Amino acid sequence: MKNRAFEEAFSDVRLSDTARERIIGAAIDKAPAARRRVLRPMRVALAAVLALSLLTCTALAVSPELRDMLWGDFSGEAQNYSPDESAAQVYDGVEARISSALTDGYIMRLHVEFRDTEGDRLREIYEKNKELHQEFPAMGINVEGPEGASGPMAPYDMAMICVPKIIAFDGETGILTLEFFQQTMNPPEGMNKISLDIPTGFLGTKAVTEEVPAPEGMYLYTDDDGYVTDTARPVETMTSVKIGWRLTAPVETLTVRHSGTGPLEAHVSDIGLTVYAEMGKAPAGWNSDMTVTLSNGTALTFGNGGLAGTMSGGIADRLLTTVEFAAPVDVSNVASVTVGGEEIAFE
Amino acid sequence: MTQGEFAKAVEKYGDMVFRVAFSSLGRREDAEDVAQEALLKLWRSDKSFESEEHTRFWLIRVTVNECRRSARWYKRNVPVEEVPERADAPESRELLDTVMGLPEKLRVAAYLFYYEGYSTREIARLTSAPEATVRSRLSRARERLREILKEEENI
Repeated sequence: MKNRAFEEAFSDVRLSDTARERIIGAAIDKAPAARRRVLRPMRVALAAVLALSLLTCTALAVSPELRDMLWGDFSGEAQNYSPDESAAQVYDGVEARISSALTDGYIMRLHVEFRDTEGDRLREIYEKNKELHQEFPAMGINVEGPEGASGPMAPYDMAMICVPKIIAFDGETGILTLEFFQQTMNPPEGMNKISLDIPTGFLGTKAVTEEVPAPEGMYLYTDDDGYVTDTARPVETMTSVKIGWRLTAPVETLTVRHSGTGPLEAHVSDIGLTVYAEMGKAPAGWNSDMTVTLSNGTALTFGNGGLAGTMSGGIADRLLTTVEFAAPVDVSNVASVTVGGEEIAFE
Repeated sequence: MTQGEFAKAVEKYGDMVFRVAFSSLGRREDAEDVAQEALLKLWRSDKSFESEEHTRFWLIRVTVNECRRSARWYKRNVPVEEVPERADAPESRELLDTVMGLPEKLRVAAYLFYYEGYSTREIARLTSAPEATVRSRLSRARERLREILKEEENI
């Protein structure tokens, strides 16, 4: 029951323009945080802290049983990345270790094990999360190539982020396993590494921020004319620790372009399907009504369980949907994909 | 959700999210932090909403949860003597001041009922409280606000 006096009293209680700008900016930043709870920038101190507390680890600890549980039909042959010298790091007593990685450049799925070497912070976080169903902060997976990275950090206007979720907690070892799933819009040529930037402050570790120049193309705030970039204004961002795995075998991906209702671009790999469309020109159902047809006539759909989860996103007028296969698919056997009723054949 | 869509969502729902947070926390800075977290959850979510009302309902629920988390954080990390006074409210208004002087659970219920127009059943779902409790909170809030509201309502 609305009340006029109430409406008038609260009418001036409004989110400030400054706060709006900060929120939109934080959506692009990979690790947004409440202003009051972060430390002031300390570049020099940060370097010292990281130098003292980072410890590189190389062992791979995931058990075959856990991997099977996590990856199901994708365990084994579809595991196309393996650990290198940056597979694990320790920051502020919490060790982060990639236990499995899978990507075709568009779809990225990582499982990371965390272990508190100095206390029991992860058990507390797990218990709290279990009780309150709270989400972790978003962060970003990168796919890297010889010429640089693609993912949430570069370039910013192709940003995608993921929110990790709990997969398992081992009460005896205290190992918390999180899954990171993300899509990227622009995988680099010759991708050879998948990496994850874990912000300081994650899982109860000490948070450290720094001010960095605003990257070209990163929107900082809006005005009447739209998004505005102010490269003279530094961005306060959480520092991070990077862990990653190297690509061990080339990823085979089929790409086809199609002009129907509007331009579509489809990429198929052994782990999934990625479709690009243009805003306003995509056929109805382009990101939900999908079928992958194999050369033997088998149709993979959501309805028959051939297609698993889907994720949609986009920047400006370029839209993207990724669909994971429920089981690995030999790309040489893919005959066509049907998106929103439009069939796109692979030659 | 694209960045453009998110910017529109911030424009559309920002005030509502902020008001819910402000009615709960009573401090502008904290309410802005919570509004940021709630709206970023919308940005990160790939949830498909059935309607605008569904989006609003989801956002309010997330905001209420974030307010609880913020309150717990204060309780654990900030000594009582350092908690800022609720002096940073907008210009003093009789009703607003009176509402903000209510206990937290009463003012959130009152805000959702009188400003957002939700029913007691909907408020119960939004705040994870039994409907009878919501009715009781509204009744107690109404007692305190009766002089200002100057009306008799059957809650």
